[in-house]
Amino acid sequence: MNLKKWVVSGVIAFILYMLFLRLTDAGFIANFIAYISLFVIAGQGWNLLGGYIGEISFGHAVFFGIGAYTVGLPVGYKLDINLLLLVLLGALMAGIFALIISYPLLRVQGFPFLVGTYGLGVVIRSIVVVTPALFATRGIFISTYSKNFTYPLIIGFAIAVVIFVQWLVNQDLGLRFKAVRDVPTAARMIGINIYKTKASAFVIGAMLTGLAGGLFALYGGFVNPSACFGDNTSIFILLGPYIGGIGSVLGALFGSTIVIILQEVARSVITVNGGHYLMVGALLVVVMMLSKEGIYPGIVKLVKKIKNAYQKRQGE
Amino acid sequence: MAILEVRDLKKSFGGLEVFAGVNISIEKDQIYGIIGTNGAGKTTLFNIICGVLRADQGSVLFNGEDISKKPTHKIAELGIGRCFQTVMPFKSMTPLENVRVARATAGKKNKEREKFSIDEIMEITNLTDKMHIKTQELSLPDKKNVEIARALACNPEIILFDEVSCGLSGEEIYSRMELMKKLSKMGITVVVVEHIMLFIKEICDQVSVLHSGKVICSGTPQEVARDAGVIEAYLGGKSNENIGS
Repeated sequence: MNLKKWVVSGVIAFILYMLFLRLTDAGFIANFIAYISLFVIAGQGWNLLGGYIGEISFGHAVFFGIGAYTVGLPVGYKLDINLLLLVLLGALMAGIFALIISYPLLRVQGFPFLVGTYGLGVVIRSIVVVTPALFATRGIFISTYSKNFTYPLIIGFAIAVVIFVQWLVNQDLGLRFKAVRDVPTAARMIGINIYKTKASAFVIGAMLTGLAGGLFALYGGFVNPSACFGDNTSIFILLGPYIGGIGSVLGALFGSTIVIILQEVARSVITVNGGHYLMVGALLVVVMMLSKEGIYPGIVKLVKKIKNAYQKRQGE
Repeated sequence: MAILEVRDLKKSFGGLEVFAGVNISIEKDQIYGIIGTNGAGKTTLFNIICGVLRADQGSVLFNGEDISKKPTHKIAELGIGRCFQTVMPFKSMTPLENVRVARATAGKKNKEREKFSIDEIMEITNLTDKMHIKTQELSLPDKKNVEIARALACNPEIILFDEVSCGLSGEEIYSRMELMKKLSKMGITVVVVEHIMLFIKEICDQVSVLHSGKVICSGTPQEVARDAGVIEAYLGGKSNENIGS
């Protein structure tokens, strides 16, 4: 699908959502789609590093939290700053933090990188929890915009982010990401600076995740350490692209949608505290057994197989 | 002045001494062959030239500049291209994308040396019809062509070919020999590591033979084939004018 089709599809999706929002008066499903969209944005950010560079981060909640707290803190300190501006500033702050932390973190790769990002998440959450200046565990209430403004805003950003990532991965920079993932030695041999390329993906991805965090603050009207910097947030950010199809924009989109829907369905079915994780975990196991590349590439392969078999049969 | 010079290169892996003072000098626009038995260090030499490995001692000069401490990507930007013994195309990309990304990185830095457009690269590497197919779905010869195309897209001054004929049919080998001759005529210096002596004898202007950590002989392919030390190393002393042919 070329970029023009992505843009047209995005515009249609936005119009349909607006109609739905108007018809249902911002009801549960409209709310839920906005919630899913937050993880779609964050998942696309994670996918830039995890899917297109191949470095699995287990601490993207840090960037989500920075985005959310960049919106929350000025409100907590009663500073009169435009919330939308703060959302954008949150993305920028997450990017700056990623740039700083990329220097030590991206010196390692593979499992040490995963552990490093997890450790980063633990450290930052702990700092927020014990720092009164950051409102510690109390969290911050945000008097946000109306649902009729916030939800379309989130959907609009989600569509824009998906289109942006699809555009980016087909640009020279995106091709560099894939080159580094595919064969780092050969990538160096065509003049690619591995560290700078990884850092670019890390920073852009962190900005997108930070954007999701800022929008989350507007969506929920409340930020606290466990919701924004928690392990669960990191897990659900990475599970979407992982289950949907790592290194694929549509895969990450489907995956984030499926994971969040399943989580909510499981939460309503399994009433035991934390029991819904059982269902999400089971899904992960099933997906990894059936299609290690994820649901979307699995479906694409299956369709191709059926198509080939059909064409072969027609030929006979 | 030599375009590429290796001076007194020493390299060991633990207790194994791979190079004990290797000296090679490659003139511009030559097709230069490097041969040696298995484990002689031919690929290691390429790795050191490209900055993938560091030498313990000695230096590598490219156009008179010492590049032995430079990182690989900077060496590529200076104009050294490479094709690997084990093919390493960017498999998730199409051949066109492989070439595009190379043109946008080292190729961009060396724009003034551009000899081929992307379309021309696709044509001379026989990839025009396959340029939109995922590289992982291509055959081995096509994957090797993708590597050559990618190296050309960097606008290099010199290309290091590491056993580029390995796993190819006679016809495919011949087409690569013709391509190398063409590149040399167009002002791209070619360095070839090969096992097939006929390949070396057919296209190389100069050859160096690596053996036991040293260059035991350098000269034209004919001189090398007559050298007693080379015959000893390859055939254990039995003289043969047509070594490996």
